[in-house]
Amino acid sequence: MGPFDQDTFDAVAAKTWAALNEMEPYLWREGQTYPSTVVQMNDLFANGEVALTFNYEPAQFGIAVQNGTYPETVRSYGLTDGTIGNTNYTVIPLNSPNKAAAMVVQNMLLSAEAQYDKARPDIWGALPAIEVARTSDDMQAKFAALPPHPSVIAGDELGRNALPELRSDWISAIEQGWIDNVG
Amino acid sequence: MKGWGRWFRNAARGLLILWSVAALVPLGIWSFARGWRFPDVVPRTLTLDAWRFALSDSSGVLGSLWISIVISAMVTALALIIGLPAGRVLGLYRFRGKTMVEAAVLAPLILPGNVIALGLHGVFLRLGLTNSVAGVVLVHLVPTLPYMILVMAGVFARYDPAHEQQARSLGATALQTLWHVTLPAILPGILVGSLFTFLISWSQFVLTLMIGGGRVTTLPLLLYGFATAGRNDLTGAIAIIYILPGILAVLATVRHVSGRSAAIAHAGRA
Amino acid sequence: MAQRPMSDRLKIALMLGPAMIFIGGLFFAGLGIVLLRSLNYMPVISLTDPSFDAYVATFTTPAFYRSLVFSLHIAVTSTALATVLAIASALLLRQSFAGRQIVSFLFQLGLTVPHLIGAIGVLYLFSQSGLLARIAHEFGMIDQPSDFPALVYDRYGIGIILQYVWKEVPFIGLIVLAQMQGLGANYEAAARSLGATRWQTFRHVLLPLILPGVLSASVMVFAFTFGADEIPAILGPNARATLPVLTYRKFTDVDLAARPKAMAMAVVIAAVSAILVGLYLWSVRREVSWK
Repeated sequence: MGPFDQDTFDAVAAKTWAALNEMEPYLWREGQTYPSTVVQMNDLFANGEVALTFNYEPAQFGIAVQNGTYPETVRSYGLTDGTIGNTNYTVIPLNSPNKAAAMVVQNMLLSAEAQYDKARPDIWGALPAIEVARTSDDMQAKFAALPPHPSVIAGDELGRNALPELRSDWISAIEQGWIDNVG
Repeated sequence: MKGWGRWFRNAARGLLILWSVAALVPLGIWSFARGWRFPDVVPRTLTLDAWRFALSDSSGVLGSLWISIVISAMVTALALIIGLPAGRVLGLYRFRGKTMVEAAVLAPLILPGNVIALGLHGVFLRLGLTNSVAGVVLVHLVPTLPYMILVMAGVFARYDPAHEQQARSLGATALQTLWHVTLPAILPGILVGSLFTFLISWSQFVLTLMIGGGRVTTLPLLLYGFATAGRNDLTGAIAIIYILPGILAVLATVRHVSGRSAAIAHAGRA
Repeated sequence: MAQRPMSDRLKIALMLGPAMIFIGGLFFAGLGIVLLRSLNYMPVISLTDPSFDAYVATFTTPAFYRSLVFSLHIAVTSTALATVLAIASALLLRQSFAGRQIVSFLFQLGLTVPHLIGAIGVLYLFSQSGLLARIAHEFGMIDQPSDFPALVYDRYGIGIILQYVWKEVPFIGLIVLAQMQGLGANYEAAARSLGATRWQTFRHVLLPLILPGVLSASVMVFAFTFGADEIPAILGPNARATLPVLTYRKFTDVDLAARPKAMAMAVVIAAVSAILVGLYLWSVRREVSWK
């Protein structure tokens, strides 16, 4: 979406605030106050105070079912008209004193083995950040054998409508706009 | 009429008990629960999982417990070493400027510690004391030291120093006098003052967070982490571990604790 | 050497010295820095021109007044409720009855429980899907969580007040109880034998006698409930912040220029509390423990 652009923002923002204000009567506490954190909202969801919640990490729904926080009937889905998606990143600062060592660590983190461990539901359950098709046949078979959790949406299904993350100047404008117009 | 009055008082006492333990009940239940959701009054599945995890190495509870004990013990020792002589002076002597000194001791009990920590943060940053156990110990002295001084001043106000002179005139050395005369007389006061100082330090959250920067993870910080991660079961188990020392302290000192010492113990705040 | 008595003044100075250094170096230094920074004096980020800008900005922000009023509301309500309930509890606990020791122990429990734990407990107890709501559901009084009154994250700060009352009733109660036990029952017995009713005895005999303790305890509760920030942060609504919460938000703002404003608000909090210290010292002068 590129850098922040006031005209584009103004064109769509008004519609967004109108839609959000329109749904206010159906929100938790009729929109008089909002949960402060996503964890607080997840707790409201677990107890049926709200009918749906959201999370950046689809695996979290499976984990929450496994540790008993959510009932087994919970299902996750992606929005059909676009859902923001990204993955975890690692960076090496320009002034890092140990660049070579940091690169060794990154190679380890990006290895098929580490990504496989990360994808195991009993460890983390997160989607791999690498192209699985380019790993060895052996690893591909292992990835394919990972048991899907019924509460977790499949990665390719979620990826179909994925949109890139907005740049931070957009986020600041949206946050301020929400405070001024909705919250 | 008389019967009704007694019935009413007993009912009120029953309500008082319920109210006194009310906030702790859900924490206790959660620590044994797996997935305790509305509208279940009691959990469908009881488990020791939360306790097993809390007491395992990977939870970090035992490490935090140790850091908390070390910090609160150091705070108590420092407060006692600094506060005892000051309390003796305030309890036994009259001198010019005493009112000023008293006001200086009382002020930290009334002004919120978090306001002071806003100012101290910059200085500690410059001195390299932020994110360190030493910095946390120092900032815990803000709410605890005045309390220790007050308790010791109260103890010495009821203490007769003539006994010390009698001991000395009978040939006891200064050290013998301290050990056999002074200490036994003020020991209950030292005990109460130390226990409450320990508890005040033990319950600090905001000061530890601001000066420790999240690096010094005392038990309340760890607990808050699990609470804000939505793990109510682990929060419950750690909360029970966290409040046990306080309960034991009350049981241990129940004979010595008067309203007066409780009054000043309020400085414990958070 | 050791036998020669030190002069009293030197002795006093030596014994008080360390305590004054620590209180001065920590408490008053912290307070002084807050004051300096509130006046826009912060050389670290090249603010070297003292001014009242932060105060002007603070006193012209409507959010500041909303937060001040919210904080005062919470402090006044919590203190009043806790004081009344504490006196009632002390009256209940001072007579001897079967199981008194256990009741007294449970009554004291809240005193040792950190505020943080109390707040989480109140949350699990009073939320719209909390334990009380579930019990109400069990008895068919509500169908779903939204039928239960909003007692936490609510705009009136009920959850915050409930937590403070829970925590402070034993505190004030124990002080009052100690005072009552110190007084004994003779004064009241005399009043009753002279024909005073129970209420008259309480109102005109007992209450004036316990008032100093009640006053000093409740002023401390007021100052604390006015100045603390973690309980409102946990149990308060998103849309309304107490003054200390607003201060902390400004302090942790990514924009360093917001710091002087945070400091100015902190000074306001301290000033309101300091006025209370003055009243406290003035009114309970003779009751302070070592006199």
